[in-house]
Amino acid sequence: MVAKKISRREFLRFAGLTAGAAVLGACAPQVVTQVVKETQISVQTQVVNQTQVVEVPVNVTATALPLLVTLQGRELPADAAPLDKQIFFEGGAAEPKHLDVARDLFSATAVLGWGGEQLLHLDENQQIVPAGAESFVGGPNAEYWDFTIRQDAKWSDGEPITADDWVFTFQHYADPALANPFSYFYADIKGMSDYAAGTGTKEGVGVEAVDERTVRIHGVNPAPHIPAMMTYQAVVPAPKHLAEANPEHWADTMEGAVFSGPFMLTTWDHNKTLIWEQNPYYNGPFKPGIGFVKQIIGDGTNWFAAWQNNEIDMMANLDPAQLALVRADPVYNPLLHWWLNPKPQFLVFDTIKAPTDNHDLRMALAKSIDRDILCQQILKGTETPNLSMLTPGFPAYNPEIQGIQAYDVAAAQALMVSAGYPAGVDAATGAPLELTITFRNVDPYVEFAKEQWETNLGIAVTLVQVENSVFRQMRVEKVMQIFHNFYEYDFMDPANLLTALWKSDGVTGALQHAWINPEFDDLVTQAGSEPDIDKRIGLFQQAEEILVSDAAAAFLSTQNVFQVWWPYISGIKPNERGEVAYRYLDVSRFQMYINNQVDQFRTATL
Amino acid sequence: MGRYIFLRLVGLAGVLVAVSMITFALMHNVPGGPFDFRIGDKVMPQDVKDVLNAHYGLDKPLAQQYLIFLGNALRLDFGTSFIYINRKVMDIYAERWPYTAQLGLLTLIFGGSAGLALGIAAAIKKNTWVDYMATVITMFSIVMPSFVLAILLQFVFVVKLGWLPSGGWDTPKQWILPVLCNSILPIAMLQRFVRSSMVDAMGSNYVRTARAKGVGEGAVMLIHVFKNALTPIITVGGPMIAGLLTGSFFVESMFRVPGVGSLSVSAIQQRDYTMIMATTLIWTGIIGVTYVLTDIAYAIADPRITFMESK
Amino acid sequence: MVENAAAPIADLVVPREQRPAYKAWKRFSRNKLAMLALGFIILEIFVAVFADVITPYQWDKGDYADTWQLPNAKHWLGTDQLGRDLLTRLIYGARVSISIGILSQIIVAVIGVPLGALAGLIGGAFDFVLMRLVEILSSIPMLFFYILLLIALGGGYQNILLALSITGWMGIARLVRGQVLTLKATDYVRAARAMGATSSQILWKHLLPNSLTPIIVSLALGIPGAMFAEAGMSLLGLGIAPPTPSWGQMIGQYQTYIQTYWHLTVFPALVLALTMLAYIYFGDGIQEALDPTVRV
Repeated sequence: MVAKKISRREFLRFAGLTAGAAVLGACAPQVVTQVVKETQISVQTQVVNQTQVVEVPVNVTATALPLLVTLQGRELPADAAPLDKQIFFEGGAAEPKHLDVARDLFSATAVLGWGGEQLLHLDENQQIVPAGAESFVGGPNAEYWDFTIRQDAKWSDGEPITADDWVFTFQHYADPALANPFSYFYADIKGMSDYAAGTGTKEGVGVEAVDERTVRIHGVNPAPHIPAMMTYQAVVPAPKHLAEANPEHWADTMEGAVFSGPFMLTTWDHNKTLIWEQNPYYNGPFKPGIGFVKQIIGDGTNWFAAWQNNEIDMMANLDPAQLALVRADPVYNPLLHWWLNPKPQFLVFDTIKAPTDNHDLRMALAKSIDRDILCQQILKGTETPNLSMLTPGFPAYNPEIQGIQAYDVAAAQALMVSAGYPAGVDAATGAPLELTITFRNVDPYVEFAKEQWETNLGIAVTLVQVENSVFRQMRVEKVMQIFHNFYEYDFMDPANLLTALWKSDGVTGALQHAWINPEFDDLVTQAGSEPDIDKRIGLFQQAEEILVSDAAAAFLSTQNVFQVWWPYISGIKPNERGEVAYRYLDVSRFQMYINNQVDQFRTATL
Repeated sequence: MGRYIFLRLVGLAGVLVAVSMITFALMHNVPGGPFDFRIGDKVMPQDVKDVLNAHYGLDKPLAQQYLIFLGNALRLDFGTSFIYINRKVMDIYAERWPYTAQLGLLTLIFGGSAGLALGIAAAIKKNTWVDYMATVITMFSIVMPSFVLAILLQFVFVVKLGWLPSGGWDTPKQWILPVLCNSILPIAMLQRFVRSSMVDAMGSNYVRTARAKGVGEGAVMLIHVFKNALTPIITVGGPMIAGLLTGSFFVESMFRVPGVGSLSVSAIQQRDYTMIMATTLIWTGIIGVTYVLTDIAYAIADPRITFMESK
Repeated sequence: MVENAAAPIADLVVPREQRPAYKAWKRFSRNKLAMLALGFIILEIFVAVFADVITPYQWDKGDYADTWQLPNAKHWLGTDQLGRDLLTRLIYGARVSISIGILSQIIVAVIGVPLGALAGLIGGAFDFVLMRLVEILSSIPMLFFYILLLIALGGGYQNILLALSITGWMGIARLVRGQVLTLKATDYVRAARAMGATSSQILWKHLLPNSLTPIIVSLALGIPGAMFAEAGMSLLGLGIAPPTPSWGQMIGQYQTYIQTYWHLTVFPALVLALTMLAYIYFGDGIQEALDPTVRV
């Protein structure tokens, strides 16, 4: 056998290629030491070939593989999955009524989060950052605010987003012919309430185009919180070029599927699914890592089971049982995330009618509920005790007032005496004082309150259950003696939680709550138009102290949102405290991307 | 027979009008309205509500509203939904109806055959352990709330085993669990009735006579027993089909089948007035027509039955 | 023989073995399943009545250190969200279910039997109107009717009874009417008329006693139906309100937790199912015992 001699040069070339291939495979842009196996062949006639493998270290500088880039030009990190796997599967969506994002607010929150872009956003630290507007500046005394729309901002059909679009948008929201129930949200913007009620005109709406890219929003009074309002998910523009001609029906079908945000709707399979793809015209700061969002419509399904079965990627709000399951399971436990949601829960008293018009009685009731047991034992940590309307991290939150309503049975019993109900006995009847709590659905708060009040104070409590709609009706009419209420914040400003809910009309009380306190009303009105931030915070804090001291409600807790998602979701930035969370009202959804572990878990496709 | 059917249908029309009046009155006297859900759990101020009421004609006197409704309903126009504000009620119903029909058909095929088979088996193997087992399982299925069984099935097949998806209605794999859950009650009821009527027939005089005459067991079963068991099967089958056509609220919402069953209860809870009227009347109509068809089936199955009531 | 011929019929003593009631009881007691069911029913009623004495814990006071417990030695069936013992609550829940089941049928009978009997007896316009009313009310989808009715009235024990009564009398009225119509045409009723008996005498002495069997059976089988309806309404939040325990309410309250705290839904469902089964087998047993020609 004659073996062909291979020249050393050819051979080294081969080795070099091998080395190069090995490096490409490692895909790391740094200097690595590769171990290369060289094979030496020596040939002799009539002698068997002998090969000897020698290991020779060779220094090689690896060249980096190009990173994946999304349609909109965002570079994805090295561990990202291929672009066709960048799909986010979301469950629990509701069938939208139409695609006019702002008008379908609560029935289809599905549509909102992905399709529209507000003027401003909240980042992971809940700070206001530019979004649809690249900058904003306030006029003198915050009487008006100017927002400059981002250069070359475009709708998903290629048309530019202009100040005229925004002017039209606010008129559209308040259009009385459309009867938009959420129009009251804009009451602080000049002319909106009047127009919506039919007493004003379209031209009277205080939003004007200063130039092609600048929109000016006037407040009814000086309104420092208008920028904060602009971060809310419902305040997104409507396309004037489509909607003006047909305000009520332009968005009924896919023909009206034009969006201002990073995503646009491409498929609407009624009652089944919605599919979003990246808007090729989006040039804003929040380019998503995700390429596609598939939302599955369904209300009564066990979504947790669907998540366990890898049909959806995330459970954004766990109930106490699911939380317990996740905590106890070694596979799920590391996937747990949580964040504090400003969603105060409280028991409201009718402070106008007897016997709950008695301040000492109300304070006694507030001080005799053990919030720790409620939150830890009964609600398994999905709530955390909170003894005021504002919550930790919320602007104007005041830790010093947290002690006013704190659990103290002895103090509560003393208050009962001064209220005229020693040991809970009503002197007039000689029997325990009788109170009624009205509630809907299943409510552990109310059952717990009954037990605590009966045990700690000796009174008699009756629970009355009514149907959901009936409850709302009663709430509006303010006919319930005691009821459980809550409110999830819309934007990060005390005006949203304090003024909107507790400022009274002087006659029947506040919006849902029968409480009239002129001092409180004055303070929040003053704060509402105070341009100096510190002064404003101070005024709101004084107002909240009155609210808590007067025991208009027994403040109980705020929500701890627990979430799980599979490990193939990366990219959400931690906040200052190091928490990584998917919050509905901030930009975390645009930060995330799918990493290359996805194939180990998920097989579903679009 | 023709006259009878005509009279029954006229009667049905009368019933529909009466039911529509009762439902309309009851519905409007229930507190709460269709706008309560427009803004989730936030508050809707009363003056906004008043504007909306005027916009939809809900501030007119009740009798006038009813007459408007009746006039439109006679032309099969049930109006626009209060919740899906840009779509007509009939359009929504027509869009969702095929899913319920498909689910119902599959349930009928699967449940019907399984129920019949189990009933016949239990009757033939009467008083053996097969019979007792079948009886116990059947009775249990009748009384156990169906959704508890459904949740357990879902837990086993979706979560633990991962064999089946949690819901939807596109691929055949997604059909299995909803059809199974929907079939549990029909199978149970059918099994019970088939068994009991077959047992009755098997012990009756004419069967004993046939056997004594030497007619083969197979022929006895087919000709005498089964044919005479037909009447009770129709008794159960009629309402069962009506129930399937109107859709199961629970199965549909649990397994994300976008049919009409889930439409009715949510319509009531959200006070979607137009949808409530439409679903109630359609439901009543389906049940009424099914009963007429059932009576006709009785007459065909058993010529001894006459169906004109004598005073 | 003259003395015997003069003896009034009412004085004749029928030997115990020949009395219909005794014979029925004998037939009933041979039916093992029905006897088992009866035993279960009696046991359940006993336990419900003496709940205060039997239960180790209180149904409205929970131990907050032991919330959400799965079945263990201390709480045999576990505890609920507020630390209340589930077994205790199930036993008290029996009070609600059984009392609603039985009371609703009594009310339904009180309404339906007279109406049906009168309709059958008198006929004419009264009969026509009543039957049309029955037909219309029977055509309204029950689920809707319950929901709408209970939303309008508000939930709670009395309103559930009211709703069950409004929707339940039609069946028995129709039944009794049918019986009366059939019996009216029989020979002995015609003979009684010929002998001069009045309508009310015929009604009380002949028609009703002979209709008793289907009435009793219908009522017995109506009890589990009423229980199920109450459970369904409580499940939807329209029935018995917390904290008063009701099986349906407990099932509905915790149905989403079945993967973890399964005991909170499964045990109430089991108890409801077993109770309903017991009443159904009991009803079947009565039917067989009272009317041996019907085989179940």
